[in-house]
Amino acid sequence: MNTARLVDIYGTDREAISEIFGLFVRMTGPQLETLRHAVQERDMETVLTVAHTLKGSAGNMGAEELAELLQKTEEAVKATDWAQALSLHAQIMEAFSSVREFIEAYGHD
Amino acid sequence: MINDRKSILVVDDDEINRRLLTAVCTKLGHETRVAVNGREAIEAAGRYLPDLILMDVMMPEMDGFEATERLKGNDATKHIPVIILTALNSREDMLRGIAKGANDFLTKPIDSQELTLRVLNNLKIKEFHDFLKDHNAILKQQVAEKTAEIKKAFDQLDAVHEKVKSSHIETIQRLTLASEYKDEDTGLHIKRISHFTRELAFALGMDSSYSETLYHASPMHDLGKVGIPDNIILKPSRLIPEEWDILKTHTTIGAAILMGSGSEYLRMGEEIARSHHERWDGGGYPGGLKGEGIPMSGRITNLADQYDALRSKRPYKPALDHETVVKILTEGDGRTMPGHFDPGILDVFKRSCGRFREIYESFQDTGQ
Repeated sequence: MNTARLVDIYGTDREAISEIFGLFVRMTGPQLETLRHAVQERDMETVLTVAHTLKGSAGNMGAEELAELLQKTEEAVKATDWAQALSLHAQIMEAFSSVREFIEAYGHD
Repeated sequence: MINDRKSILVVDDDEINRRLLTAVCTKLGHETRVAVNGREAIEAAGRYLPDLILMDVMMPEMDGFEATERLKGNDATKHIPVIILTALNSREDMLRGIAKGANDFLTKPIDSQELTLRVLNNLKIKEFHDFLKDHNAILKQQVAEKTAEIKKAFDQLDAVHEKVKSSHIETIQRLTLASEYKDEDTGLHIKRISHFTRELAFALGMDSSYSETLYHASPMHDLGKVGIPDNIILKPSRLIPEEWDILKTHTTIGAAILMGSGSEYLRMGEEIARSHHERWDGGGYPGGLKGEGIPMSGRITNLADQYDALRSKRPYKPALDHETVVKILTEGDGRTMPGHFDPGILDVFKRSCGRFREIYESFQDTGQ
């Protein structure tokens, strides 16, 4: 996790950063579910929309690995490589899990 | 330049993005409003007229491109800068944004420093635009204000000038009354002279400023009579030659009293006092001047004064009626001859003598 962008915006206001982090976690969980379902259904439009939005949010949070995996998912789906997309989704879930741990720890520092 | 606190409209369907963008704008000291799609953005822009719009591209209901296009197509909102928020390296989005009229671009994820710079730049452009737009209106207003000030100053000057002029004229009138005070005349003689001379000047085609000056100056023609002994002025019978010589000096006495004044009225008064007994044929006094050597004001006043004298009752002569007087002036009676007068003025008199009758009757001494 790279918190530089958020620190740029909020400075030393850890509470504000914590609040944004919490919002990110709450919104992202359900969207990853939607993404998984869309990949399984090979629903390209939904995958691209959700992946794009999540990529933006992840980038804003400084969750660089997550953002990169979502970018790769967009590319794989555009190339109709659904197997790759499914494999990427597993990695995404792992990466999100680490992000959530980081964020929970951040809130309790 | 005008107000440091600007209003920025943040348009994004993603709550996190809205919060981050709002946080940066707030940190810069600006006020923010938010909209969650293009349709809401158009509505908010029309209602609040923000100074800047940060516009996401992918949004439900109406995307950022369409919203930008509509905002730029509306006179009320087309001057508001729009910064399109695009995904990193999305060249296609940038080009489309330009085509729709966006002013600038910002790539996501949000970089606080880049956002700050682009916001400041676009606000500056908007401010300059507003300044230019207002400039014309401000200039117009300033011109109107200055014009009003100048007009007021001129009005005040006019008022002062009027006041000076009227006190001038009042002084002249009182001075003239003093000169007539010894006569039986009630002051109507000098009123008639004013009107007669103005009438002749007007009929001769003199400009209105000359006619007005003459109107106020001609009553001073006999001012010098204050220097003539009462036994001559008030003598009920005809004067002997020595008395005549003394009476004639009222012309030079009047001129001496009025000489060297800065007032145009008194200057013309001096001219008239000295020359109103000169005759066109050179037989008058005190200078024996001839023809155009006699000032115009003197020639005019001479005819007016002769008409008035003939019409009026004197201790040694009765009052004559209008027709008789016109006949005497235009044809002569042995004592008064047409050759005494400027033929041009006499001509004009013949044509406008009806006005003389009216004036004489309007300002007639009671009991005559």
